[in-house]
Amino acid sequence: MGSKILATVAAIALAIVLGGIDYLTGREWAISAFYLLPTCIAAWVAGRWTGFAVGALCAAAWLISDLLNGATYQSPLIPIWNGIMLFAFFLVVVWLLTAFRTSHYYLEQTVERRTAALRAEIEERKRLEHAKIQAERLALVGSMAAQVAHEIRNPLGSISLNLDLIGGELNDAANSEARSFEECRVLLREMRSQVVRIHQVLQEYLQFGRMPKSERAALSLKGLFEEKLSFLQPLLNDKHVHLRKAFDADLPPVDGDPEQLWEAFLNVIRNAVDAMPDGGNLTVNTKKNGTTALVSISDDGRGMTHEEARNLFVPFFTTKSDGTGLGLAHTQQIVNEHGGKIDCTTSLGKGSTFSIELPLAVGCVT
Amino acid sequence: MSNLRNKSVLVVDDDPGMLRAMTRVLSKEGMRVTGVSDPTVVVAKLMESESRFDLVITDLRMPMFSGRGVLALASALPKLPVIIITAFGGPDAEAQAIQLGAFAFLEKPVAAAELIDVVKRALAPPPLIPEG
Repeated sequence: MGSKILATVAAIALAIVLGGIDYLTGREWAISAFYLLPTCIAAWVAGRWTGFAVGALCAAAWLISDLLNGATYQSPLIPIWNGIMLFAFFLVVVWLLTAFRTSHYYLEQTVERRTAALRAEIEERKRLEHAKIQAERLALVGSMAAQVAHEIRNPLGSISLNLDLIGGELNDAANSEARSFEECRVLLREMRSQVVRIHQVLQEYLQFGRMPKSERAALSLKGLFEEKLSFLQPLLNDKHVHLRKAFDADLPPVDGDPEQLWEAFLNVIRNAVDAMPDGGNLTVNTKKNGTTALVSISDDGRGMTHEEARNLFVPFFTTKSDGTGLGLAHTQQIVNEHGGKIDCTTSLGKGSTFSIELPLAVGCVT
Repeated sequence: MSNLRNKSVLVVDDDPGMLRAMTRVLSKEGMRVTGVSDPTVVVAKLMESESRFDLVITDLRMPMFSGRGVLALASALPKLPVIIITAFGGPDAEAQAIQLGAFAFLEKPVAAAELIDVVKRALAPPPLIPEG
């Protein structure tokens, strides 16, 4: 708007100045072509009607400077006729120029729109490509995990049974030297717990590779969180983590598998708690975001480096000594399976926020 | 629970370590154990002595002849319970095995006490059905 007014004022001023110059040069210098300049500026910047008005002004300036100069014509009507002709010429120029301007504007708009669409399509393709690679990788990990499990469970089975046999032997002989045998029993218990630990790791791998098909139903996120978070409260108290909740009561249900989704959320919550070894605030929010439900889980813990944030969802990437690096990868897998997406913003030393978007259940999108 | 003494069991597992361990555990309970690490001889073992075995314990994934094959063979014989013990379990495999007639489905690693407990249950006489 500002540029239009500015251009109009400049065009009017230029028209008046040209009229003045025309008058002062005694009309002997051919400068009438310059009247086109303010007319064109006004038409291009401020539009057709301003162009017409400035064109009329220019024709008037030309006519007035002509009359004031006192030039003599065969008929007094000739200068008026010339002024009208000049104005008609300006009209045609303005009309053509603004027509061109309009089509140029629409063309620009179209190009912009198509470029945006193209860009979105490229992004979408990239995303799909990425998801495909991720899926292939996961399938590979799954089959590898199955293979590893098979290879390891046999010796584990053997160790497990042999341990029990040794335990039995010790029991039989325990009457004579009770103390040393008691020591052996402790060791055996320790070994058995190791067996259990290896078994658990294998379970985690297998679960990751062979995610069962989700059993979805309309699910209230508020209900899910209220129910499940209460079980976590003792753990949070233990870790000096203060839980803040804000659930949108009007949030329509999502279409989800409660067990899988809770597993996904729990992985994020576990990470958040681990990021606050000295305690802190854990915030869990849900709200409606267009046609999706937005769950955000924040902590004010140690945050992540750029490198950590980049590899957050990469399977086997972990910064924990006892982590498998599968937790968040599994979370992403579940969220993707539900047609949602997960993102993370983090600031080193200040904390991290995970945003999980899930589509609302069909029929609940308003 | 039934007494395991002198009961005869066929144990099939292609992993020698696992086979040895299971053999030892069951022998200690007084069972007569026939260990087989080559599943292809299972047919011969079962056929040559139809009434000799009281129980079959088999791995599921083996080369040439799978635990499912063992299960199918054993279920053709009367009153021969089969316990599956596998390194590659999961709910699907378990459901399938039970559907095919397995008495129980165990995942390795298994504790000796658990194995013995399942074996005892498999060999327990069927509960008496009250008349009327």
